[in-house]
Amino acid sequence: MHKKNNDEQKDNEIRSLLERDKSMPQAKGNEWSQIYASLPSDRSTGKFSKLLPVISGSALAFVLVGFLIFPRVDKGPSQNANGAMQEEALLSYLFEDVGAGELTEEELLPGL
Amino acid sequence: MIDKLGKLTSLLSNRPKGLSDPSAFEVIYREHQNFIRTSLYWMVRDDGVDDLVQETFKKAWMARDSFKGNSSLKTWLYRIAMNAAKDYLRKRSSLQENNDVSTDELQNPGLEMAESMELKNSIDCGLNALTIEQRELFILFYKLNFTYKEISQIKEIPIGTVKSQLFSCREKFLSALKKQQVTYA
Repeated sequence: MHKKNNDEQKDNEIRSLLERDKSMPQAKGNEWSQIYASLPSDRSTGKFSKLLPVISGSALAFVLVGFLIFPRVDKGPSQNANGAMQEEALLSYLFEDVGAGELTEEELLPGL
Repeated sequence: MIDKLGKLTSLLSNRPKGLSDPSAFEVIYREHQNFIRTSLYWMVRDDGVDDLVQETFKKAWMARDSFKGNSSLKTWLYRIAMNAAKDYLRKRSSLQENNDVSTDELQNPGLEMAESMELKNSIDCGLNALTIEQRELFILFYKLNFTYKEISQIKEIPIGTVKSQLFSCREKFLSALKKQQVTYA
């Protein structure tokens, strides 16, 4: 009993000592605004940023599958640096479905 | 204000949906900042406390998805704060070992400040006699007035361990104070 009272007395003395200490500095008035400014924006932490890899991955997969499934489109004769069709390419493009010996260039294009 | 309090109530009642909302987070800050600041100050005992408060709430914001509501929000914030304080104390301790003397002790306070500085130095001397873990228990019990049971829940240790650790803390603290008084006498 005496020990318990002695312990309680010591506890009270310590609490009283700590209570007298007023050395804690005043809080800065704009503390919340500083914290708020340092909070990351929703764009970098929100749902959008979590979905972004999923969206971009799906788009890439869609494009790749498209290339694999659908045949290439014939783009026509190639062009030189000035934009003019190369003569050889133009002729092969114009006559590719014409059987050899059926029509000559002169018969098809008499003005040239 | 009512809207904010509504958000806070829903936040505390179950899994906090509002924890991701900066305005609800501000309410949390207003509600707990005094407790967190006092806890931190009594751990570190210098003016680095404001940076630690800021760091605590920033970390809480970053880790808001990890709060599952298993403990109270206050306890969760307190644990984040104590981790920040312990890191700070370890860094400060290694810096002081390198510099040998704390710069605080070299400052020459005004006469009116002398008494409060003396009291602070006495308490610091007692606190420095404790390990970081003991210091935390000591502050929880003697400064923040938590009961043995509450401390046992916060620290997740048995009540018997809390009591025996606090007994040891008290004897070390008082012994350090007595030694200091003998030196000053």
